[in-house]
Amino acid sequence: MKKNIWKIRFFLWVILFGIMFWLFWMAIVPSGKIIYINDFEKENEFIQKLSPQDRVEPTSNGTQKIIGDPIYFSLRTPRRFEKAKFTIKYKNKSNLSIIEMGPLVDKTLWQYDLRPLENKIIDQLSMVWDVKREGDLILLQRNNLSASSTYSSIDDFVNNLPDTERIAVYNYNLDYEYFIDGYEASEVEKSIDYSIRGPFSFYTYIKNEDLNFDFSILDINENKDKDSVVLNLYYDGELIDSVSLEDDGISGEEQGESEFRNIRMQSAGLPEGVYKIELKVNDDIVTKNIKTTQSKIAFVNKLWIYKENENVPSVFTDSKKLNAQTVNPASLQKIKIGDKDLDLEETYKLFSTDLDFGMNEIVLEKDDIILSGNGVFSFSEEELFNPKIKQVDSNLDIDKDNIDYIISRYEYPIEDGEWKIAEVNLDIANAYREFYKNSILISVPGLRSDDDIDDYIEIDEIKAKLEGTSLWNKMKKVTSKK
Amino acid sequence: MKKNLYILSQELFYVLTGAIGIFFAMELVWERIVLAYINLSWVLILWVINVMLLLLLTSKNNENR
Repeated sequence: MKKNIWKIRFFLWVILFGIMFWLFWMAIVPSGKIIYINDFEKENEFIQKLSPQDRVEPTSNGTQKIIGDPIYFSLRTPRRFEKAKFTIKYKNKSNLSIIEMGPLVDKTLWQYDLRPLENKIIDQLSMVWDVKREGDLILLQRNNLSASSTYSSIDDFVNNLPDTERIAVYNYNLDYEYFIDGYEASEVEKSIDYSIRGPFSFYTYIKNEDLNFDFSILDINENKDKDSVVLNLYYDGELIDSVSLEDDGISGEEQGESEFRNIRMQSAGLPEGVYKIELKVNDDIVTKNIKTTQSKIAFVNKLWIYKENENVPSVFTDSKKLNAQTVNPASLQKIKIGDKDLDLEETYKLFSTDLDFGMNEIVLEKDDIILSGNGVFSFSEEELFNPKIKQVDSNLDIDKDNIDYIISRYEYPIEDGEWKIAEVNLDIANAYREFYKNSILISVPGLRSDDDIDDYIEIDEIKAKLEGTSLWNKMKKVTSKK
Repeated sequence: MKKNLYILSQELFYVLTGAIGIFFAMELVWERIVLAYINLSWVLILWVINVMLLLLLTSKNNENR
């Protein structure tokens, strides 16, 4: 009898310790590799539900429809990984041009590193243009080009670029030099006296002159967080200088604006070319004034013109589509852009309009407005310039923009009956992670839940194949450090 | 038969009590290490059912004595 009791006891406790061991194994992932799958049949612990709720329909028959852009979900992992390969099984019957996804990399700037899942523009052009492929890199060339304008390989193209106005890129950093003909440096200091709220970045141009920017900033302390200020200078995609200011000391329950403070970016002996300056702050920081001796300043993609300016500015842009939004009921207005009007009728809602090709002047009635677009913005025509190569997005018109070449790092989705399967490799080693979660965004530009169009993306499955350091390699690293 | 059932129920009580304690401790040390795979509510329900069965069998044992 006692023997039987011991047998039963041993058997049950072995099962319990076996379960414990298995739970630790699944959490530590000793091999460094694991796969998580969400098939939308039930709630998933690792690939969590899509949100916000007003941009998705409830799950039905093991699928979920996305009806608005963008969509977020959390990738919850018990430990850190370095790479994530996502495989998405979906339907795009509405023929939406671009679907991308990526992890949150910067929480202050709310920046996601998006990678392509599907680009219908490239898919369709691939059927009629000449295609060269090397791995995941593809070069598309218009068919009726002369023999001397046609490249035999991607290497040949990259090493002997044509006029960059004829090139469009997608998910690819093309290495090229941008010079402005006839540019002359000015020694006269000028001042941009319009208040700009929140983070921003802009391009500037240097030739035989010092780089000289002085920002006068104010912390409005509307939120209780600490508000640090970081000013970065980039050249050729590399960070070459950085300056920072700590929080003004007013935080927590204290409220009230800080005094004006200054932050400067100055550098001498820089080579001729385009530089990017990035002010990395949250929305509590207002830049009241920018003093500079540079004559070219073009704000990239977004500009929040804050209130209480002496005069309401006009803004110039080369964007093909303009978005405008305000959070201030007193700033509802009619914006004029050439012969077009854009009515801001509601706060917190994004209003958009297509613009004519080339430069457009945006005439505002009131300030405290957020302008965004796929181009650059300046406070004067003379300051405006855009060194970026055109992107293959839904605003690109291949013929009007005279595009003869497209270079892209892109894998075509695979057809699986009425479904498509797309894969994307994401670098999550340096992605922002909080409470064991990475935030992942799915972007479908142009998909809106508040319009009357019945368009959507239907997702059947999301699979995440994760890779990280194995337990063995981790132990080797720890012992080698000692 | 009843004796075997009593023994099994008693051993199951020890193991399930140990499991609940161990799983809660694991959750305190490493959030969601257990909950990602095991619904602790079901473990608790199983424990309660087992306790009721054990009490029933114990009282019947005492009656027979």
